[in-house]
Amino acid sequence: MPAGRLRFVAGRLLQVVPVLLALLLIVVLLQQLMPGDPARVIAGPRAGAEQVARVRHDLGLDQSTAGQFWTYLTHLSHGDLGRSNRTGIPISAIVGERAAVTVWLLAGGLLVSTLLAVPAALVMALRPRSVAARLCARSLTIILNCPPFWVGLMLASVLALRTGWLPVGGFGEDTGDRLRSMVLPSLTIGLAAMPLLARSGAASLRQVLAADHITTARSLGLSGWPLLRRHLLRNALPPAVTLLAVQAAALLFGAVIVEQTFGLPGLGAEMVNAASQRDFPVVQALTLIFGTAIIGINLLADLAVALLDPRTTWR
Amino acid sequence: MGCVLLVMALLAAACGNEPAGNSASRDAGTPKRGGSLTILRAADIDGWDPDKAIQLATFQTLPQVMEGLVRYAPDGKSIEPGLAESWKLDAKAKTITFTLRPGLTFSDGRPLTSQDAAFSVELWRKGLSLGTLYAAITATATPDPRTLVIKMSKASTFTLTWLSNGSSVIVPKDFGGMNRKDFFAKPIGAGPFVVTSYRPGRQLVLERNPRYHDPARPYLDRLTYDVVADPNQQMLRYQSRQADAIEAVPLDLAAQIPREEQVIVHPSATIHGIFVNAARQPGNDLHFRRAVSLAIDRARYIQAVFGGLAAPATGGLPPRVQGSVGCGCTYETGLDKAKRELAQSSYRPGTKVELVVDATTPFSTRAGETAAALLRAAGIEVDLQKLEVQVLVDRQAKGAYDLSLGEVGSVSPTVGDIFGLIVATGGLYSGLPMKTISDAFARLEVARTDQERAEAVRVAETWIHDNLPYIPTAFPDRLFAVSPKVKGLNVTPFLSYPADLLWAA
Repeated sequence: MPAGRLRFVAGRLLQVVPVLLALLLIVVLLQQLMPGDPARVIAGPRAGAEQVARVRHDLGLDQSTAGQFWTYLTHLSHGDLGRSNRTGIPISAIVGERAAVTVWLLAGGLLVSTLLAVPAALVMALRPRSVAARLCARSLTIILNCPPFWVGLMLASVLALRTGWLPVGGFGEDTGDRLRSMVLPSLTIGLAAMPLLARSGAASLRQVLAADHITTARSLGLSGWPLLRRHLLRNALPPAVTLLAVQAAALLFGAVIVEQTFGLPGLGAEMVNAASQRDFPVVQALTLIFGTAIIGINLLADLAVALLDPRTTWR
Repeated sequence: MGCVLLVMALLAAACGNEPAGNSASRDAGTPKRGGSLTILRAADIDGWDPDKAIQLATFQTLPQVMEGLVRYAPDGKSIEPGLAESWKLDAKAKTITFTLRPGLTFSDGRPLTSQDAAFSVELWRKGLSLGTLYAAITATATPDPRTLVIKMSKASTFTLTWLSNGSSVIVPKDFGGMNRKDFFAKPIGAGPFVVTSYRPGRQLVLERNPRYHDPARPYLDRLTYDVVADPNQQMLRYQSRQADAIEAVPLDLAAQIPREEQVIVHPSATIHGIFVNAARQPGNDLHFRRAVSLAIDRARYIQAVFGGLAAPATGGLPPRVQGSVGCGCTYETGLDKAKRELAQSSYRPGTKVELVVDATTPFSTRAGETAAALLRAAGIEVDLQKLEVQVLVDRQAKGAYDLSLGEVGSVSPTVGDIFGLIVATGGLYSGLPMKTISDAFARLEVARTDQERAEAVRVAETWIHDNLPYIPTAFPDRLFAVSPKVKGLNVTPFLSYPADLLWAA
């Protein structure tokens, strides 16, 4: 890799560190403000003040905020995400077990949204007055107004409960089961993400279509697939990639709802569970992982855009 | 503890359903060996450490893996042999001598002796949370490998019954050489099942323990508990037969379960009520508490909140367990009387009274809205606050509330277990002195006859009725959805069932 590009990547990676630190600090501070005492939750309703205090001490919750933050960073620097307050299980094990579900879900969601959004965007941009384009536009409006949990329930009722073709929920035990169990959640999350992607893609394409170089290319007799591939898609791709990165982040949060709806044991469901149980070490770790994932996706998107766009200067 | 604080995490009502009252699945034929079942539950167990038991699921599940000396009978009314084949009380009833079954082994093949049982008794006694319920036990002796002697400071008949609760489990001495945390991460017991896999918050898979003392049981080869919090997802899985049963179906969804697949515990040994903070105004005024009690029209409340799937509370302690006698008095209702009581209280009209409820279920919020409407009709300016469960529990524990809606229930065949919770929580967080209840429990603990037991409970019931540390409103039903595949399910009033008696059609 040329030195300029290396410097670019290194610079972007360095920028990530303070962002993550700030993210962690915010999480720790928010935890202090959250009502509900994790020590009380763990000690149980019968526990007296002394027992609750002992649990609080064991959890390190009697330390100052700065102390808790520092302890957490120290452990983190050794690759230790800590243990769940509720179960005592190492968080790395929890993440290891649940991350696969979320990754499958996100990959499936991205695939569905891309497969549906690209043709829709092309139709709406290239044949804006056609019946197909109008149908697409109307459909997107309807889909945009359907809450994902409702879409999920409807899909499960119609495509799984009535037909028995697909499981209504859960993750299954083997690869075949898991692939089948991912169809409806992927469709749900993909449908939720698709309208924005399709509309933005269509807008981006329309912008490129109006550009001088397209007019020139057309005047030179270029049309159809060659025009689309060489001039239209190539120039419309960088904004689409950026949007896709933004969508991936949105999908990550959408996964929280979809995992709950389909009873999928993913990171999103674990996050909700941990937050409701005041299991702060898990919340901290998952926030860090979600944050890192979002930053990582955006970083990759930036690099991809830079590579795709010949006007990029590697600074 | 012996009781569980549910804080309205469950249930609501299906309109128009008359309670069937059956708490057992329709069993046709003789139990069949083999097969597997999947049961859905909304909340996971609290872990395998018995002292951490809070949720009903924990009391239900622990003895399936780590059986105790005695176990509750399938009808929940008495106790029967567990790992101990017999027991004997001495003349003064201050010593219980248990004889363990011959040839007992833990599921890993190690022999189970009275030394293990004695170690387990110490473990229960020293429990930070539940230890007080074993307070009568002073010492143990193990004259031979099959004999365990439990010595008590008083003739506690309660202790023997309490030992059938799901947290009095037998574990290997010194945790088999492990530390407590590691042992309870992968527990070994002598129950009918072994843990094949446990993914907290997600799934528990139990398989038949081939070394279980009864070669005929359990009937199932495999029992899977899937934790599914979302009621809609629960229903979809049940309807698609991805699951064979649901423990405690939210009563809102009862209408979706065919009548022949409903197993109803009517009523359960649970009290649904309004907890009052009597440590501050206006709850510290008995007239105000009476006004609250009078304002709750229990018939209307039960219809609105439970769709009729509950019984009006006839006492402050759970029904249908050993010692349940009710208060022999009436929790009256009447708007005019409520207004009169309110007028006599220190409550100033217009002053906001916080009613905190669990925000996470439609049932609890509906209960809150119904209670608020009834209280407002009596002239109490209710500020209904819907809170997350953990915030609610925290505020109750800290006394930062005026009124709150909640539920407590028995987890053993004796009403005595709930006394522990009431005393430990200062009358369910009321802040009132609990001396009468403590004294009543001391009497109940040593009661030898039903009459003595009833007299002791009646003292507590009368005190609760007269002083209203909390306002009992209903004894709710519990509904299990059970597919025709599930046989042998007998749900006790305290909502446990012996899983080793389940079989698959």
